[in-house]
Amino acid sequence: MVKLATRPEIETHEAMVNSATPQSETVYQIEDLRVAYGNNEVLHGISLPIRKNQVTALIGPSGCGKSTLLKTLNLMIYADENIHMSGTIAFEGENILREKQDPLDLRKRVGMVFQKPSPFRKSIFDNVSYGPKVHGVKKKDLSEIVERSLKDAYLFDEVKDRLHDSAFSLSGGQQQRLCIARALATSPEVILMDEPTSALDPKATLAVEDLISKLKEKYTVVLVTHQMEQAARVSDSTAFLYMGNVVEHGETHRLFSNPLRKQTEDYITGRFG
Amino acid sequence: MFNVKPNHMIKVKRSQRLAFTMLSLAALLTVIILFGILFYIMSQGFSVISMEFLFTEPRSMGTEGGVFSAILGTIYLVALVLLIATPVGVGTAVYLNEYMPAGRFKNIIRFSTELLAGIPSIVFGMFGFIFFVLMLGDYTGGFSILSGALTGVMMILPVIIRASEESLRSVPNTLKEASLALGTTRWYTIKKIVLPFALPGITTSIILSIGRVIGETAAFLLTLGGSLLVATSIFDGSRTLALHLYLVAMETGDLQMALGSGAVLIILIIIINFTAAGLFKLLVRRFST
Repeated sequence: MVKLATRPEIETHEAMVNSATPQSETVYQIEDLRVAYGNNEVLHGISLPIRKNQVTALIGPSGCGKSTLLKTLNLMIYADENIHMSGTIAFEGENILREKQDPLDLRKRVGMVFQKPSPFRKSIFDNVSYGPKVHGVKKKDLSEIVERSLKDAYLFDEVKDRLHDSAFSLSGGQQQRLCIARALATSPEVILMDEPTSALDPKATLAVEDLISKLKEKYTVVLVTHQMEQAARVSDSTAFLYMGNVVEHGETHRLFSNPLRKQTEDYITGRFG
Repeated sequence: MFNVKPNHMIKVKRSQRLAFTMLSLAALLTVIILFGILFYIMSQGFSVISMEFLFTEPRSMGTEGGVFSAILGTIYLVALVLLIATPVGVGTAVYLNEYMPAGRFKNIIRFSTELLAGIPSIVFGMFGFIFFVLMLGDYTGGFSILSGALTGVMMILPVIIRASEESLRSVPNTLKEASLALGTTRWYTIKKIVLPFALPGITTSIILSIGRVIGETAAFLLTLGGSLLVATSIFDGSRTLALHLYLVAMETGDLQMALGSGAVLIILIIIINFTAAGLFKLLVRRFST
């Protein structure tokens, strides 16, 4: 365990949490979340609010637990073996870690976008309609949903004449926006993004970042990123994780310009990470 | 700098030429043997083949008449074996790969599969004879296409399971996760994403198994019964072309008729393989793009 270097003027964790913009209601309230793979605890009691219609960035060096935290938010962590969890994650007021929670309904309401663009080997249309079909949307309503989702992902104009072409005819950046559209198609409330631009070139990265900033009008976004500049550019609040703890959480502009913890300062100024 | 003996490069080149000659001779030998056998059987057997040979039943233990019942027997058997072995084999592979957590029981199943693949076919035949023909005779019809098919299923299951597992493993995790993250069940993900992706590998394993069933004699000698009549149901005895060839050659000594069956067998293998490959190609195009 690493002892956190605390600055005297900050007494409690609560003080930092509260420094996040308070005006918006919370979608997730995470309290004392502990996650372990076997005997190896990777999250040591995390508490964090995720606010509605905001982009919350999770930053920190590799292995700090940011991806694990993201995976617990839609319970994709259940796909891993030998998981132990404790604490609570209240999603819209309901603890999703309680037993017998059905992850299928949760995942419909919480979409996810992965590091590498992962379109299915299907047409553009079938990629986007995949989720709604599973959830029982009637065939005649599909094209409307596909169009709306592609528009929300700002991809529609680029692909509207070739919806039935293979998804692999798209460029890498377009594929990632297609995956975002696919996640939007189940009408989620939250979009989780796990380093969504790490496999993209700078131009495509810009397009996706642009999209993320627009998404928050309708959706809540949680963004894991290892690029601090990205967090600074697109997020409203930022949580800095280090070795399984939230070191600091606050409004992004404040956190980057005036970090309260020494470790945060060291990380964002590039002294480690 | 280092010194090179004046003749060194000549030696190196000579050894290269020698190696090239030997290797190409080895390759040539394989081709000569294959075409030698094919040519001999075809040239000898072709004289026997006629419409009558193809479409009448054998008489006098196969020394007269044709091979119609054996052709049908082969097709029935292959079809029934595939009908049973494909769902069981692919299902086992899916269960092992997608559902079963790593652990001892999984290792035991894998190990059993490998052992099953190493058992000689005559042992399968013996087991099939005792279990399906004698013990379950009331249900399988004794010596019958069903008894033979069930024995054949045991023989080719390991091939299908192992090859299917191999191609299921090649499905990228990112695709499965992307599907699960959309709120789908594991089974839906398997149906819509995993199986279509793995289909080419699975079909290859099935086509390989067809060859094994067509060529097998020992296991079917003990379970099909070798009836010369045209089978009217799966509870009737029958014989495959390979079995017919063996029985005619060994029991009547009529090598001319045996060679005729051999020629038909080779042609049938080519036809069935091409048909299966074509069908599966259609299937792949339909489901995995």
